[in-house]
Amino acid sequence: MENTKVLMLGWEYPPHNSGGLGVACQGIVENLVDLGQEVVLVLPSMEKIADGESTFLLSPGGKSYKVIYVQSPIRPYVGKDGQSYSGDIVRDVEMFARKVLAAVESLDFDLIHVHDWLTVPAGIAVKEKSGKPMVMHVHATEYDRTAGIGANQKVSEIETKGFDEADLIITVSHYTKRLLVEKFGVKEEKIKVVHNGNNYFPEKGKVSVEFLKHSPVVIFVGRLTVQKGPDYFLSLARKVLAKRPETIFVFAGNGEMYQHLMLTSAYRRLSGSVLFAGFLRDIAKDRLYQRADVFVMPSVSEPFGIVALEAATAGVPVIVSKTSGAAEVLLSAIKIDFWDTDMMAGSVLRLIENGDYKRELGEKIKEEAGAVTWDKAAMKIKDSYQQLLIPANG
Amino acid sequence: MSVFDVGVEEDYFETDDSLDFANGRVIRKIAEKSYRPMLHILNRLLERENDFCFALSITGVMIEQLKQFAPDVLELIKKAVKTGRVEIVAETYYHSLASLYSPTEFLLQVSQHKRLVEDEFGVVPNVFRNTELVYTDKIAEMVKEAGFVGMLAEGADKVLKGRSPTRPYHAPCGLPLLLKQYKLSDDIAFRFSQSHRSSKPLTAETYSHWISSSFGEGEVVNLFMDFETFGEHQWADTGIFDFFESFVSRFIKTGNSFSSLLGAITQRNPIDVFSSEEPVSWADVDRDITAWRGNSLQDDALAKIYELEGAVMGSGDTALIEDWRRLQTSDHFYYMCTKWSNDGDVHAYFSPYGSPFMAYCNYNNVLADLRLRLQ
Repeated sequence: MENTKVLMLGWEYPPHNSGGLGVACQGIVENLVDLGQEVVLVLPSMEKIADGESTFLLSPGGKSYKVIYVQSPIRPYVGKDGQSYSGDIVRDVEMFARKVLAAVESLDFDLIHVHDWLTVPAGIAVKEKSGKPMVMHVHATEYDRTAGIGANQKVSEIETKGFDEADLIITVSHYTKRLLVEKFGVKEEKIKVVHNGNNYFPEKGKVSVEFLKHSPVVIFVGRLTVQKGPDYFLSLARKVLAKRPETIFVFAGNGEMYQHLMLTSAYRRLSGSVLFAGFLRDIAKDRLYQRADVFVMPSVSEPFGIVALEAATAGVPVIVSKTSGAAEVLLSAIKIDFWDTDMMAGSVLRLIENGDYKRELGEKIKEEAGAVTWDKAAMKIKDSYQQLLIPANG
Repeated sequence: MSVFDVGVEEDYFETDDSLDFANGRVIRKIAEKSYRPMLHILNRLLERENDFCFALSITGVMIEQLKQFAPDVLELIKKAVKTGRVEIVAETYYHSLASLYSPTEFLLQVSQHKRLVEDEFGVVPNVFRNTELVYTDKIAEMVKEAGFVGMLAEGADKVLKGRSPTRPYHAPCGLPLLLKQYKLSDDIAFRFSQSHRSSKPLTAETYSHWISSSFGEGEVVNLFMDFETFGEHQWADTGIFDFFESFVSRFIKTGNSFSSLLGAITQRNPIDVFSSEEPVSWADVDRDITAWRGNSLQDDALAKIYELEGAVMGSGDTALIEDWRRLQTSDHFYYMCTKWSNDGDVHAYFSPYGSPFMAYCNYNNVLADLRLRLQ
């Protein structure tokens, strides 16, 4: 049975995404569909719609897939007290589960594929009702999100329940697989690693990179939150600027640390050198990648880090934290400990001062990024579906 | 200015005139609500009352904007000055805090302003008032050196320590000072609309009486306030215009008089010293400069802009120098203020930014661009 009917439960999708999850979900869905899988995607919606309202979207290959919406305020990136939005996230997640159950009642599917803890209760509910196996795709754990400190108890419980109830777990990196085995005691055999692919295909000359002229540009792309290590980026900036005051550092992202970072940057006397571009997407993000000279991802704990892949695709030399998934697929990425800002500074300076080295590294990493594709990922996922379903088919 | 505009040909100060906060729009709006009506009243009073006089503080950048967007207002001011009973005070051309960062730049801006005032109004300013009435003993020294006969300052309690602002004072260097009587000034500037809504609105009679009973022989009540108090901060429907007109007439009728700044300075012999090493201003409850330099955003932005002085002046590029000067206007840093108090509303009032962080973010990008131009 080549074509699997997949019920996919997501919680964000472009263009309404605020981070990497939505991008990954889209990459997975579209490529599975192009491989001939029948995918029905269920998403929460903040708009005033009737639960169960559906639409059809097209994959890049021209195949259509159904998307069902249920009204729900659930959103990612909740603070450790669950109060990032006004409401009780756990209660909303349970409500989402009930709505999903109702919305998929008449559907026929072979398995359920859920993404992260937000969709776990829904997945478990549907699994119980339908008897179909559940695949849990782990893009991030509460441990990652909170950099190991102050995990939300309730969220962790739901997450762990998901690990237990899932028939198969897919992690986006070996790093995350190890985390699940070591910290959560999940059996190794239950976990399959499928690295994320790439949705960004920059075209040189298509967008203007005529800005921040005559300055080396070092960028940080990602949410301004503890997990992503933006304060290490600031430390890095100070160290590099001491030697190369003409360098410009750009934060491209938004998040709860925004004000703190601005105040700290000013306090450290970095005004005019550390700039804040806000959350960028599409053309603006493209322009920044294409203009950048160095990309740094000092994440404390990064299950994958799609942005590193994006920068690499644009031919920008990449410096990434050793505790990240991207480090696994980009051989030419400079890997450092997230707290080692001295080494980061050294690498940045070397890249700024040595044009040949920078060019060489940029070309290498671009090639490597080219091999990290969604259709490879989708293929692996399709195979895992097969393995999961074979016993059932005798 | 966004990150993508840095290092690209971009005008820092021009905005689409259709935007609410575009300079032209703002000036025209305030001219309509405040400048014109109040200047008409002032001119009327000057005509009617031979003893009425007042002083006006108007920066260089303000004169430029009036020329561009409301030239008739400038004509109304000229008309008033021609009576010989309206003094124009000296100050920095760009409404800057240069007095706290660079004596050289400070004096250049003051000279530039003085020249413009002479050109436009045909009078020479001889009394000085600093941006936001910022005073320190050192600033007084610079002002005295520059040849001014006196300076205005805030009659702040923390410096006066119980003494009355109506008495004659001088700075430690000897420069005569005229101190703002903040209670009576703020009765109009801040509290007028409150009183208007209360069961006992302030009347011209009462106010006139308050003033005449608050000073003795050889003393002067200094009422200093934003011009926009009349019509903008205190709306016309509070009756502020009629109030002011009645008050002036009433005050004179009851045997009191108005004094010019020069007169108040030269006719008195100051013995008491008003001294402060720390900056004192007329701003907020704090009467200090935390509205412009209270957090690290402001602190660093100010430090950085003045750090560029050498390179900017050395460039000889007049457009660059002009841009750099306009970036010194204290408003830029005012918008970055994160203080929370009654003053919060006043800060937000004219700000074109949604938050102090957005204000800093923008200024930060402009700083980067300026630095690139100097490379």
